[in-house]
This record gives sequence, C-alpha cells and structure tokens, in this order.
Amino acid sequence: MNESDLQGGQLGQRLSAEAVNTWFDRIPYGQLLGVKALEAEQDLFFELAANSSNVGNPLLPALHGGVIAAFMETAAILNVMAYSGGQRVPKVIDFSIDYLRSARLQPTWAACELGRLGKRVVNVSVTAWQGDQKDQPVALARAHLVWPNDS
Amino acid sequence: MTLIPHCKVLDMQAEEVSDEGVLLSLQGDKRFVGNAEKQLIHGGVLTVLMDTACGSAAILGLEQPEVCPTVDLRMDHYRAAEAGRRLYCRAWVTRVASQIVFTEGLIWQDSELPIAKGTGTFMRLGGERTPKGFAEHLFGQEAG
Repeated sequence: MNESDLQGGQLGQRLSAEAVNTWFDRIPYGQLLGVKALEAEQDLFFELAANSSNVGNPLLPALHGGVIAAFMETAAILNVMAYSGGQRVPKVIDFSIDYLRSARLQPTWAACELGRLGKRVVNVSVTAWQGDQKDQPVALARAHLVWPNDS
Repeated sequence: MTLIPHCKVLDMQAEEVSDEGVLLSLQGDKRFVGNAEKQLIHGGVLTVLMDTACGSAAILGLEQPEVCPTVDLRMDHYRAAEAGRRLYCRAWVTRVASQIVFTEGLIWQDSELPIAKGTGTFMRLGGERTPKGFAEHLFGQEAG
C-alpha cells in the first residue's frame, strides 16, 4: 500500500527498521539519546544505547527516569510512523509511564503495541526491558498520539 | 543539576527553590528537537524536565531529604514547545504521605500558555536508605 492511500484509522504495511533508522534527522533528540530501530522475528523494536550521558543517578549508576520515558515516547512515535507511511512525525497527546525497576547503565530495549486505532487517535503501549528479561520490564508506558493523516 | 549527567546534557538550571516548590529551566536547543520540519521540542525533553522538577520538589517537600525514585509520571501535552526558546517548569508537592509523595508540575514558554501538565508520584526510601550528605550533594550548589 502506498502511504498516500492511507486514510484515518487505517494501518499501512509496516516499514522496515532500516527505513525507520533513516528518520533520525527529523528527530534529533532521539539521535542524541542513542535510539535505533531493530527487527527480530518479524517484529519491530527499539534500542537505547548505554550512553553515560543518559545517567540520572551517578551513584548507582542508573538511567534518568525521564530518559527512559523519552526513549519509550520516541519508540511509540517511530512505531506509529512505521505503520502510517513515515511521512509525518505524529503529535503526542499524552504519555504515562510506570517505573517498575531501576534501569542500569546498559542497553535498554522497547517494544510497542498499537491498541485501538480510531480515525484520528491511536493508543500505543510500550514495554521497556534490559538484558533478555523482557518478562521483567523496567518500565511500562502508554500514550495517545494523533494518527498522522496526510490529508 | 550539574551532578545529574543527563540534566547537564540538557543544561538544566535551577531558577528558584522555595517551600512552594521548584522552578527549573532549559534552553530549547536544536539538539532537543523532536520534529525538525516544524522545529518543535521533543516531548521527551519535557518529560525529563518534569521528572527532574517533580522529583526535586518531592525531596525538598520532606523534613529530611530522602532518596525518592519515581513510581509513575503522566504528561498531558497541551500545545507544542518551540525550539530556540527557553522552557520553564514549576513543580510542587500536593501531598506528603508516610511512604509516598504526590507532585504536580507545569511547563511553559509564555507564562499564560501552558505547554504541558505533569503528575508525578514518588516513593520515599526513608532516612536509613539515604546516603549521608545526600541533600548537600543534590542541592548544595544551587540552593545553598
């Protein structure tokens, strides 16, 4: 499907991680954090590099909670773009995060799930974890974004 | 703020610290943009600012400072933040309970036009789990 054929509330075919990784010049802060898209077993997911500039508590050291939120919000934005043709960066309406565990200075992963997609608004859930412990997330988030119609 | 690595990256400044809460600010640098076409600041930058402001307000709202990790944080994005302008975040405590501190915060560029509203909940780890000199370490440089 061509992105110009997409209507409100319509999912396009998902674009590849390779395509997603060409969008960071449009999202400089995502690049500053060290976010990139990856693909495994047909799923799109995201990595936050273990950059010391992302630390919030140097004593542990632990990642800044706000950075984890910003990473998960970026993941939600890129996930929506991947399913909507990637022409526009969507607006975030609201974002809510629950911190379950302290996130250490190591690579962090995030996967998104599109919840309800209305004509204008999409609900996205995001799970973030470290190591191979996806069943023990460091944070869970949900957001509402405006579905980026080109019309 | 200079002791928290990512706050240093954002060049976050403490403008005011009082019993009423805290006022932090940062310049909307082009590195913090989330939509280059429209030159808007990334929502995540607002979340980092809010988390830091609410967390600081929570710690300062206690009689003796304690380490207070964030339990949860919610952001409502009222309007976009423009790059190239300064962002301000005021945060205050709404309730100090025995184990939890509840906070709220507001971000703006023009004082009459709020950009984002935040609600943050923090857990009190208690004095015995708080390193000696924690308050001085965190606030000594800015708040005096």
